[in-house]
Amino acid sequence: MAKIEVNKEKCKACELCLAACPLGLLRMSREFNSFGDHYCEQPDSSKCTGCTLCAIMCPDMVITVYK
Amino acid sequence: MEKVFGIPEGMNDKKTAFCPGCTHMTAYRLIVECLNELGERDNAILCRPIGCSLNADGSFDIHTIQSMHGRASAVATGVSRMNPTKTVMSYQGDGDAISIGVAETLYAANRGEKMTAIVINNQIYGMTGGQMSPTTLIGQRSTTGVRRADDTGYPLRFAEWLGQLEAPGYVARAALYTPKDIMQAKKFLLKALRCQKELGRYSYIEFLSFCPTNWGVQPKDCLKYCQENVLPVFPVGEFKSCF
Amino acid sequence: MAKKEVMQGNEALAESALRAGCRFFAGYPITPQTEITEYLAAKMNDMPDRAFVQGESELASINMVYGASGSGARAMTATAGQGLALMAEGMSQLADAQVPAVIVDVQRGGPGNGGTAPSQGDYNFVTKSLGHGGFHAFVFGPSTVQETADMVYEAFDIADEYRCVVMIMTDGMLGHLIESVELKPYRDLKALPPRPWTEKGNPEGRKLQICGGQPDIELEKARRIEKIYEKWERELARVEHFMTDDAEVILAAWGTVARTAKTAIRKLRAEGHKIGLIRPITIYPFPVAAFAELDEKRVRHLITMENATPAQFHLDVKAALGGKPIPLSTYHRGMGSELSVEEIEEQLRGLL
Repeated sequence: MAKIEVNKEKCKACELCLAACPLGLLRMSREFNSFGDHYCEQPDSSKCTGCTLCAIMCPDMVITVYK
Repeated sequence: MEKVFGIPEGMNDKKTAFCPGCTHMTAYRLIVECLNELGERDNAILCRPIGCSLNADGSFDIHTIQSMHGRASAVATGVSRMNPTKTVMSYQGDGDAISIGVAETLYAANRGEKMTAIVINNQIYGMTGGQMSPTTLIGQRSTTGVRRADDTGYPLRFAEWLGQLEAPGYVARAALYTPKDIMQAKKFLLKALRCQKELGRYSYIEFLSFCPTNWGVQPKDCLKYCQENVLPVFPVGEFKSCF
Repeated sequence: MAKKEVMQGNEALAESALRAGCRFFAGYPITPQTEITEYLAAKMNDMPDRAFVQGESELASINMVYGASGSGARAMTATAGQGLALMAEGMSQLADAQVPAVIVDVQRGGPGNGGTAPSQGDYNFVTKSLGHGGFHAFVFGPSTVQETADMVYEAFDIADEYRCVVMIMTDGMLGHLIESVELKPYRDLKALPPRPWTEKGNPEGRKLQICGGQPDIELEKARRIEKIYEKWERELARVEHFMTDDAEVILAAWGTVARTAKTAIRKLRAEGHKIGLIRPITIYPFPVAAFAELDEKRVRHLITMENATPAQFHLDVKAALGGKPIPLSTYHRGMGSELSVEEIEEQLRGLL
């Protein structure tokens, strides 16, 4: 049981987290945040292991991981 | 569920002005995390440079002294000599530390000042908009020309250079390219800070960082770009270690 | 009463700085300043809580001083000629961050490499703008070894009080002159005025960010600093009047030229000529009133003399005179050697 929480407003859409997730669980949103950027999202958290790699990779500390 | 990763104590939620994919903030995060682990955050003084790193203003809670471009190691020398019990760090980009400030950085290392020099190597001047830096790769484009060995010389491998000096206690280069790299970078940084704190010696750590905007490379393509171009020139590793 | 010692100007200055509580010195060798660096190198590293560093350049030295002072210690550097030019960047940063420092300029000839002979050619550079961006330092222009020692002792207090750069402008002549001097006692380092604003990284302290360039506070800071300059000009300018009470011809000079001029003036006075000297002791703030208040009915000529080309000090006197109908002329000569008594006497005789 794990999940991530994304601070949508802080995300700059660099997509570095997408490649960091070993299971490919992340994708970019269709919606925009108020800065006009897409943001990362985890549509299905059921497979998330809470490995924290996406959060470690994110330079802007957008992702909080719960396990 | 329990929080297993988040913004470390001593940093806040402020959105910085760094470009998407820039890994400056990763370096700042590692500094704060390491200082927290060592219990040194309140006892640390960071000599800040001029350059992109200023975009981190107000997003971390460490005592800082603003330095002129290139002079952070000299400022850190003054701070360290007068405050020998503090953890004194300098934080600079490659142009700052290795071009305009090469004498200050080199001599602080050679004197073995009790400090940790942290250098962000992204092979370009970021804040001024992509000019050639001392670490720009052969063939790499910049707004001041393409680096060619015959007239603009070779990228300077500064960590290798400092690794040959007697005085430094710890000299290393780490990448901020993948989560694995970042975990290794944190290990190196912890060693660098411990080398200063516990053994009273000089540490130098260079972080290879992305600069998607000025490279003209999409952030998601940066890793491949770096594996092909940067890592062969700037290998990751410890060049000197007192541990 | 403390006992008098016979000391060289540079050494007296260095010793007096130590006594004033200077804890950190960084410097780079350059003639005619080197004795200060050598003296402090020999002494400081053996003293508790003090440090000496030979910088790899003047650039590095001034920034070390900035770091040391910005993190709590009274700090000083000394240089000359091109060394001062290299320090311009750091001095500008000191001014921006409002970090105090004492900087000694033992002037040598210029421009460029110039020569090592005494000079007053750094006058404009030091009094008008020590670096980019515009700011003032508090500038002393001593003319004896005793004054040099006293001024550097006081300089640390002024620097701390106003959080500014204080300059001591001597030259190769004064720096190498050997005279008797009475030094003030050693200050207890623990009893120095507190510097609550410095960045010492104390956990209980506020996290100060010594930093310029923050727009929201910048304008307020600029206004505050301008008030300080106004106060200096109003209250802290110092000047010596030498035999000016009834003088009809007045010589204006500072530093070592004023010192030499006194001999010439004494000689001419002995012959019955009504001649005197105005000597600014602080060259910034400039003692404007000393010139603005001259009696044009009595004073029939004012001449400035300085060891510099082109004339620099002269322009400040001219401005201070403010259009007063007193004929003003200049005699100046840079590069070569100090102005001699005979040379000054000859120039003054031409005005009698």
